[in-house]
Amino acid sequence: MKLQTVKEHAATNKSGHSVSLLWKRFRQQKYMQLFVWMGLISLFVFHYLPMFGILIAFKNYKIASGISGIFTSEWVGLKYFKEFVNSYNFETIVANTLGISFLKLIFAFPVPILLALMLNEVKDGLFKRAVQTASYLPHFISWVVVAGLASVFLSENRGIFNNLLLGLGLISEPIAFLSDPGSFWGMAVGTAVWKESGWWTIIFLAAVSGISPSLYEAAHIDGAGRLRRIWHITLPGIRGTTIVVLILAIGSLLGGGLVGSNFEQAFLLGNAVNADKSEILQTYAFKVGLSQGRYSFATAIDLLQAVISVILIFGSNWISKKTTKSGLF
Amino acid sequence: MKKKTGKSLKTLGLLMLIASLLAACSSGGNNNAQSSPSASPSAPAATQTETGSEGTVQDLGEITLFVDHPWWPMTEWKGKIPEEISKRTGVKVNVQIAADAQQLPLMIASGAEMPDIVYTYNNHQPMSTPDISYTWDELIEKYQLKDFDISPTARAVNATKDGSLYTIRNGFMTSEELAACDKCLNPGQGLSVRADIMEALGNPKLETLDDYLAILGQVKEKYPDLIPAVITPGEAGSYLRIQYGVPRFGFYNAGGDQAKYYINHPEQEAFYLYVNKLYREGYIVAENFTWQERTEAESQILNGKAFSLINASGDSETLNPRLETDGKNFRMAQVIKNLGANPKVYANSIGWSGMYVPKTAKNTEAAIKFIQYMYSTEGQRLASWGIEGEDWTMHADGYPVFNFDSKDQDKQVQMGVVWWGILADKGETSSLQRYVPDSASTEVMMELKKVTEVDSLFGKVVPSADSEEQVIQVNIDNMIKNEEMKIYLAKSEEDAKAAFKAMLDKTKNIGIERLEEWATKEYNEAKALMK
Repeated sequence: MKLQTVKEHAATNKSGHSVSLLWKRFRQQKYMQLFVWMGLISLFVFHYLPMFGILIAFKNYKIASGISGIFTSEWVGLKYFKEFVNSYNFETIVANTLGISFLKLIFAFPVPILLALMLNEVKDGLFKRAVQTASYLPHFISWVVVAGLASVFLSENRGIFNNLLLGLGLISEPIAFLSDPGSFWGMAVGTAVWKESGWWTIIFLAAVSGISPSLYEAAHIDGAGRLRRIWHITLPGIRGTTIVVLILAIGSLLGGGLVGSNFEQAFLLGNAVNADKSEILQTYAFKVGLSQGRYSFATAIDLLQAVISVILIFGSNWISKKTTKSGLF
Repeated sequence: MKKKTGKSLKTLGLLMLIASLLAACSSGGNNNAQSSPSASPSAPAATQTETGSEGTVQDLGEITLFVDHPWWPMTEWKGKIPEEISKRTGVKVNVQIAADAQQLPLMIASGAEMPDIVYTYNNHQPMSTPDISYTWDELIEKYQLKDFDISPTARAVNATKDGSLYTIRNGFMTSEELAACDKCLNPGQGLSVRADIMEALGNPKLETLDDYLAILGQVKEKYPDLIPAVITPGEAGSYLRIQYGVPRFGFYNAGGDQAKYYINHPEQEAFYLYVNKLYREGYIVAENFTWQERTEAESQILNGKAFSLINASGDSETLNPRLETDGKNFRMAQVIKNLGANPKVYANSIGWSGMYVPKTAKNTEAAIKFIQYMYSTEGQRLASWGIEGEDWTMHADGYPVFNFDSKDQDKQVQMGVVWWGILADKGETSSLQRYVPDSASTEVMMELKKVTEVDSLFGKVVPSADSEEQVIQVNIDNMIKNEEMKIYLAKSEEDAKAAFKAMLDKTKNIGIERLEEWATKEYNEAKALMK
């Protein structure tokens, strides 16, 4: 009995001691803690609290009923999901969303890696900096401006690009980039790669710079050529970064992955003529949902997309762990 | 110690900064309510004189007028006309323009305090509920406004199903009123062509749609660098549908009081095939349908890159001064006569925007009395045309003759005229203003008026938000917007016909029959209410 009391006393003392230790550490780190908690509060307020809104995908929600309406409006089950799946253009919208997203993953993911590898091999500092600057500057141009530029450059009648191709004799008839549905996917992928590749190159260049130069020196002494060094040292050296970026890209696949912008492109470069190839989940949710004040319907479409994204991110992480022993979490 | 105090002060300062930022965020949503100037609910009742221009008008205090049109050019109650209106009504108006189309819906949804008057065009349904707005009759009775004259027709078309009158939409005239006022004109669609090229071609006959095709053929042959025809985005179906005598949206009476959706009109196919022919012959370019800005077609004309423009009834009058300013050596000529064999304009509207007095209004007396004045003939003419004798005089034939350029928007803003007249426009005031003798636009509008068929009851056949009928209608409209492009841009007439049939089949799958059944029921109910 006495022993037990002593143990309890010791435990209380221990826990009191650890609390005071924790508090001491907390005070020592107060400025860092302040920033962390600001971040956490922001995350909670803007990313977790609004999740209650998901409820309206299953309810007959009217905006006039306000925030309380999220909880009080009538349950309708999967009505809006069924309505979307039964839409006359459901297959087209899903095919376009997946098509554009996978093409972006296939083409936009390797480009920054290739660019980083090439830039890493350039020894002329001025040229390297110039290329780097020129390649990441488009990242800072808004999609509205890019869409305007694309309209001017790619116009069938007065576009600089068509005039150039015609002038060089490469084509006999102008290409209808803006009005031919068949051109939309290529245009979307091309402009996204142009705009965002340089930006992502920075990440891979940073990863490359973390590789020990002694490895390259040793390989050089062993007689490894440039391509061998890239293959056996650089690429394995940036494998962790590559996998993390790939998983993130797959997680946001339906939004356009690494280069994002599916909505902006479909909204700004899409039109009634190329709608068969440009209408995607997000633009449909916007047009038929939000613009018409049908918030429940729009939420159902977005929720569907979010669920697919969660499955993709967990799936890709699992595959990555199985195959390369490394993953995001 | 000093160091510690300094650190504490820094921490405190940082925390205060964060707190103030959070406070700023949280108060963001209430800016409107706080920034709107407080009205004076205790303002004395007005003893309004019969015309307002003579005698004493008591100060009714201030009201805030919320205009749910983000593009509204008048951002302040400023200029000699607003001052005159305030003088005559005793009401000082503070104007608040919607920042965007979502501001009013969000105000309604959040239950925020709303200004004294809300003027809206697309939020009639949410505003027309007893929780949100007063009925005009409640306020008329409360303030004993026995001389507030509301026509039975205006009441019938604007009342909700339970008979409540929350607003009267502007710009509405019955077919009888329109017929009785021969100088009343509504703006419409039109076709304009390059006058210099027409002359060079020997002024060929342009009286039918086939004549138009033939002229476009000649233009294409002799002026290969020119696009023969450009269409303002969204207007492909406006002018040409009128020429084919088919409606371009909503429902129409297919006979026997059966409501049919516009796409089911038997002549729609002919209209689509005509546009397709324009494309197949190379008279219009596919890119025309990708233009998003309404000005893109105009700019093709202004830059001398196109021969004809399908857009509005007054294009030559708006484009020619600009061509002159730009130093261009050509001018546009408006095609006056209708080119179709059986042209028809479907006028199925019950008006556009309306003024509501929200339940949260602070100065309801000033609000309803302001509305009453703006609906009076005197208020209408003052706000739309200016001060009689000074800004306009009435012609013996019954239309205003202006002493200033009434179409110059800068002048309108400077004087504060025209736009405030629209608030309560009964149709007659604004349509008389459009009558300018011997002008091309007047002639075109007269031609359009001859073939206009008014059936305002269809303006009441509007599905309520998020109803099954609205879902069907939105899906059909969305589908047509995409599918009709396949008809316009089909490679052959057979393909165009097949695409048209496929589009109609899709309307059936979406539920057009059910929509029409509902519309027929609504139309006949509305008709019964009118009796």
